[in-house]
Amino acid sequence: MPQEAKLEAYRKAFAAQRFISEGAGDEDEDTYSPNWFTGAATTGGGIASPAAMSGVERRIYNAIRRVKARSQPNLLLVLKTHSALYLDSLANLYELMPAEHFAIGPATTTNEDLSTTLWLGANNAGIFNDFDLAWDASSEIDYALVISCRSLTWRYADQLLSRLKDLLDCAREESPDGPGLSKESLASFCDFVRTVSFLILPELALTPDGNIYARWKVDRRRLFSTQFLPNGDVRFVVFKPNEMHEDRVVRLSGLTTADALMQEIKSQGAAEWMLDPHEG
Amino acid sequence: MKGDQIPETHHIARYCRGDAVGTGAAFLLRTGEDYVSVNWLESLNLETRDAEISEIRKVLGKKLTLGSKARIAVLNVGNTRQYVISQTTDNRSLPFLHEPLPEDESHSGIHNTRCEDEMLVAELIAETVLEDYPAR
Repeated sequence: MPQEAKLEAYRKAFAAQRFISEGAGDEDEDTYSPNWFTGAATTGGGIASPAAMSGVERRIYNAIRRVKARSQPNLLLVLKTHSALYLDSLANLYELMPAEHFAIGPATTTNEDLSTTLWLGANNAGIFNDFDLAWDASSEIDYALVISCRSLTWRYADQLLSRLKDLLDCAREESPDGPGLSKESLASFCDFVRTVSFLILPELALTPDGNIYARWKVDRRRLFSTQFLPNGDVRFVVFKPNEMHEDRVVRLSGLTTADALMQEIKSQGAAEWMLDPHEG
Repeated sequence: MKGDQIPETHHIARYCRGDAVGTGAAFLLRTGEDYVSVNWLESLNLETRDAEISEIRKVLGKKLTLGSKARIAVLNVGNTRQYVISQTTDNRSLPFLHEPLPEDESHSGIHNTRCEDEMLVAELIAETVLEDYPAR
C-alpha cells in the first residue's frame, strides 16, 4: 500500500476513534464526518464497528485505542502525525515496557524527527540490544523488524527475528536495490502471530516481491502455506489428507485477512500440526 | 530458438534465493514478470550434471549476485508439467519455452503460472524438485 494511502487509512481510523470516544457534533463535521470511511467501513449515517474496517484501518484504530488508554498525549500526538508503519508494534511495546521509555517530549514536526524520537524511545527500552543499529532512514526496515518482533509475546519471537534478519541479509546480498523485506507484509505477519501465540515456528522465506512466505509442513500430505501481502490480505494453500481415500490429498487455496487466518486454519483442520500441543 | 517447447524428458534449473528452495516461494513471479525464469540444461550440450550446473553458475554470475545461501534446483520438465496438470482443478498446462538471451543462451521460462491459484501451482512445482546445488 502506498505511503499516502496508509496515512489516509490512519487518518480515517483516528477520526473514527475520536468520533466514537468523544461523540459526534462536538467538532467540525468535516473532521469527524462518517464520510471519512468509504465502502464496507460505512454503514448508514454512522461509523461502522472495527470489524468492518480494512486490516490497516483496524490495526491503526486498535493501536490508537491502546495508546490513548495509557493517557500519553505526547505519544498520541506523535502517532497522529507519523506514518502508520510501526503504530501497532509501538503500541504493543508500550504495553510491555516501562512507560518512561516512551515518555516523549515536546511534539516534533517532521517525519524524520518523529522517527528518531520513536527510535530513541525503543533504544532506551533496550529493544535494540544485541543489534548494531544506529538510526538512519535507509535502515528503516531493520528497526521496524526488531521493534515488530520484540513487541511479540510469542515464544519464538527471538527465532523469528533472527530468521527474518537472515532472510533480509540474503535479499540485500543478492539485490541491494531490490524490495528486501516488505514492512507491510511484516506488520501483517505480526498481526497474525498476535492472534495465536501458541503457534509453532514455521519455515520462512521471502517472495520475489519481499513478502513473508510462512509454511508449516509435516509431510507431502500435510501443508499449510501462507503469503502475507502488503495490503493485509493473506494467500494460503492447504494440502491435507482426504478422509475418504487414504492415498489421496485434498489441495485448496484461498485468500483471507491476517486477523481471520486462524479461522481458516481451524476450519481446514490444520491446527493440529500448526499449534504447539503443550500450550494454549 | 525462442518459443521452442522444451522436450518433456529434458531438465531445467531454477535459481532459488535465500532458503526458498523446496518451497513455493521459489516459483512465484515477481511483479511485472511474465514467466518463471529457468535454464534449459540439455541445451548446454555438456556431458554431466555437474558440468551443466557449473556452467549455469557462470552464466547467472554474470547477471546476478549469487547469494551465499542460494541454491539451484533441478526439475524434469515432463514430471513437473504432468504433476501440475493432474493436481489442479483446471488441469493447468505449463508451457516450458526457450527464451534465449544474448548472454544466456539456455534461458527459458515456465509460462502460465500466473492465475488465482498461483501459490498452489508454485507449491506443486516445488514438490517436483529432483535435486538442488549450491548457487556458488
